[in-house]
Amino acid sequence: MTSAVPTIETERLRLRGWRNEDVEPFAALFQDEDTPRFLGGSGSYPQAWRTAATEAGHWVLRGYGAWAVEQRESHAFVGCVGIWHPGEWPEQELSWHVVPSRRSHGFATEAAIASRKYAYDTLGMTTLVSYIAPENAPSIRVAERLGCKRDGEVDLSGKTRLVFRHPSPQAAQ
Amino acid sequence: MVPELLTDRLRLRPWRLDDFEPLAAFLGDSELAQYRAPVADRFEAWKHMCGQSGQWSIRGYGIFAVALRDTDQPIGYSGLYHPIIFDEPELSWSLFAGHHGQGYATEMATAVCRWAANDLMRPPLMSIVHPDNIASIRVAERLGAKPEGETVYLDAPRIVYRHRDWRAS
Repeated sequence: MTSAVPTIETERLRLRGWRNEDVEPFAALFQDEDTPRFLGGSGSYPQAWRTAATEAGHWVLRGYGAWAVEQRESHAFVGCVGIWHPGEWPEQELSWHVVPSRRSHGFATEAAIASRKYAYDTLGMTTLVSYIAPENAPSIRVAERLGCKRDGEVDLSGKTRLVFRHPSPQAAQ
Repeated sequence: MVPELLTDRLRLRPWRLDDFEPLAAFLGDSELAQYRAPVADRFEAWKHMCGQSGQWSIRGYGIFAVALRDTDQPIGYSGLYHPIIFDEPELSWSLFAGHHGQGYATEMATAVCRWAANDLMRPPLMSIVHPDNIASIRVAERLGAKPEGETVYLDAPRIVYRHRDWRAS
């Protein structure tokens, strides 16, 4: 088993490697009316499995990726947060996806701050962006809470995304 | 961890970032890849490559990149594909352009059969083959697999082959 995914704990959350049993709660994201438009595609269980495998494989190929996020106390699955960098994309992206039942608790912000700190302090990244669909108001609010500033637009596989640039490692301290 | 399997001519090893171009070229080749799930663009090919790597993390087994032993040039892939829609892993094999007709598919699939039987202790494996895919049917036959039934996969009828028991071989 590949166990190279580090575990990070925040006040309320645990960011850890992907497991087979994450697929069922993760599938809630793909049944959600809004999410598939942003995450790409539709469908639920098979797609959740494929996406979980894809996230896990990103760690293997790149040495970093997005974590499965759970609540520390209950181990309830919260979502998928971390760094994502497909071959063709211009930059490393910090992304967050929280399952519908766990939204509005600030979990995306909390996990994103921990991910960003890991990217800057441990991976030595010097800048990060988040690509967000213009109509994805909740995610735009998270980006604003994280101190991001608008930095133009980008075309990702034919979809227009707003570019939100994160504060620099110094400014994010 | 992904083990490394060696045959006379081939190395079965983990996927690496620099395998992406040959894999994307294969997945985008509508003739070569006609029997598998279509991959629309390079972003989909990237996700596919991550997914193949990530299945190892989630299941503990998966698909190997297969390279020539001498040059490490990737020529295809083989291994155990086990998405959630399958109730058991599938032994799969694919060759990139220019590497057919040399017995490579049989050689790599044999290595996977032995590894699955002796290291993973798996019972006989299955393979799903499109009835028009004569080259793959020949590989299945050379491996000693027998048709077990039919199924539908990716909206097309498929033959399900059951491999022989490779344990202690």
